Amino acid sequence: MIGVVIVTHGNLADALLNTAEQIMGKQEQVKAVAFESGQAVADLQNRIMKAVTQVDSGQGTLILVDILGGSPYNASAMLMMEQVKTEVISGVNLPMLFAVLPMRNLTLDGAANVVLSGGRDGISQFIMNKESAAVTEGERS
Amino acid sequence: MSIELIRIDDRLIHGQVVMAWSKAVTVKRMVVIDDMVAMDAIRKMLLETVAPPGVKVSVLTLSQGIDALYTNKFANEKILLLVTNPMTIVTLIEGGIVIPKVNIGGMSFSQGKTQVTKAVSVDEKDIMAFKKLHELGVLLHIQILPNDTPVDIMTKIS
Repeated sequence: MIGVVIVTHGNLADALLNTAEQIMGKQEQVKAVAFESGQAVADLQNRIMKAVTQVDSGQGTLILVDILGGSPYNASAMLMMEQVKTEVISGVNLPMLFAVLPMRNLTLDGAANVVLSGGRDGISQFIMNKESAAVTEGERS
Repeated sequence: MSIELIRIDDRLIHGQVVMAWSKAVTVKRMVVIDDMVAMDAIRKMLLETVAPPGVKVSVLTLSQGIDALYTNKFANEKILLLVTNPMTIVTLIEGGIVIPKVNIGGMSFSQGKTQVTKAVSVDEKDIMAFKKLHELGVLLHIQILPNDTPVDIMTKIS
């Protein structure tokens, strides 16, 4: 099974994992890492590495971070470039987690694709059908 | 070339710079000047990929940096200059670059450093460099984010 590590500024990573588990139940091989201001990047990198080691069972690890170019992203990308078997994806959101958490028997690349499409598909705008809304309005009055 | 912001931040290009500063000061290029970073192929490559859309990145050694700034290499460009420590600023000034004001954004804590604010920690070398810059008349403002009130670091170190 592919491991998942969520890394964000502040406690968002913990909150995302808690919320995901509230809806999907307890998850194996998932860790959250928080980056607090004033913390050294080297220290962050060590903590990410430790989390990766804990969740990786040989198939590799997805590292989901908050923003492109942020310290969680930079530290994770450095790990990946040092040949640690990971994929790093930014813009972590709940739809991403819902998509990938039950699909972790794929290859690392396959799981990365599930994250990308799940994350994107989870972003949508509610379009109100104005005609039917108007009718409803009329019926009410 | 106009240098819109000169910032000491050992995380260089990261969230605060990408999300907040790049909107507070409009720049076309971020210039990182640091020997260790410029010679580290991995860090260099990473920095070149994380700038906001439309912003170019140059990662230069100290001597390349002095050269580029002195010869006005980035003519017609507004730039944001990033360094990891105050000694680099001293070296730039000694190399003939005019620097009136420095933004101190982040100097992370490690063994042997004294914490000045939550995001700024200094060792003896840093303090000496800041004192030298102060003597040269450079304004040294701790300001993590654009909305923070600037604090003169000289009021915090003695």
